[in-house]
Amino acid sequence: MNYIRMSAIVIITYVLISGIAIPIVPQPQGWFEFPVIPGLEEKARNIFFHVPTAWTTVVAFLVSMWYGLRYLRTRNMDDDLKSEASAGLGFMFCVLATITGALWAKFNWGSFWNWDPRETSIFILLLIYGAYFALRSAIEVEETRARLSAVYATLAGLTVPFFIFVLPRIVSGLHPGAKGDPEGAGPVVEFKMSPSMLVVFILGLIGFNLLYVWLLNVRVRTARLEYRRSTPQG
Amino acid sequence: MSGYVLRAWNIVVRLLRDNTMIEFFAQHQLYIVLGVVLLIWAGIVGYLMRLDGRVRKLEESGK
Repeated sequence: MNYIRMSAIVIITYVLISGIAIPIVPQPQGWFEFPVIPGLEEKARNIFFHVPTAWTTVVAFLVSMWYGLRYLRTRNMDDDLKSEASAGLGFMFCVLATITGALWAKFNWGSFWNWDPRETSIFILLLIYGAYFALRSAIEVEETRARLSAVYATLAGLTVPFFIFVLPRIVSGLHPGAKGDPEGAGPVVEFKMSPSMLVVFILGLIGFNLLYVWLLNVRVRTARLEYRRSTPQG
Repeated sequence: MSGYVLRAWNIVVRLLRDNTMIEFFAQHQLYIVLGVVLLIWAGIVGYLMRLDGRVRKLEESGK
């Protein structure tokens, strides 16, 4: 865990420094300069932070589904705790991705919310996982709550790839990667990353995922302590 | 721990008194943003590490 913690700190610090401080110029001379992306300009730096946040959402929801499935197989309460913790973190990252996306949309698409397929699908995901927590809080019997939540987490997890990877690509929209925009040459901006940007971007994805693993570890350990306190024999 | 904080604080004060550094930041304002972001990130990491430590203590006391 120490390696994960230190790697998360080092990688995210590097992404913050290079993502914010590396100048964006028309003719980049090397890895220390980013090219101008027409339509995005300085806003292109958002790619290093907004996209990894959205990506971590997907990972967290899929991990929640995985532990939900494991609970259904093993009936081990620890799997239920992990499933809930991961769904909670996924929800948090999903809210952050929605807010940062809306902020970015205001300055690229003209308004905070456009009901673009990508925005609509992330909104539906927020509703789906909001309902997951409503379901959990509505059931008092521990085993029933864990069993129903695991089934729900599995079904909810199955919808994640559809809403994130499929729906926004089969319907035309404003977001890069929408239907008719396989190369990222969207209706608003031409979205292509240079190798220097790609390195920072991939490190951003890795760093945010490591941060998620660290947060999940702390959340699961506190959940275990809470669980032991509520059931001394458990 | 407090020794490190005091030393870091002294460095910050010395750098802020140095006019060339202030001028540099006045001309390259993006680095002010970077400083703010890094401070926030350092705060979050510090908080998380403290939280991690406290959870570990609770786990050990429960054994």
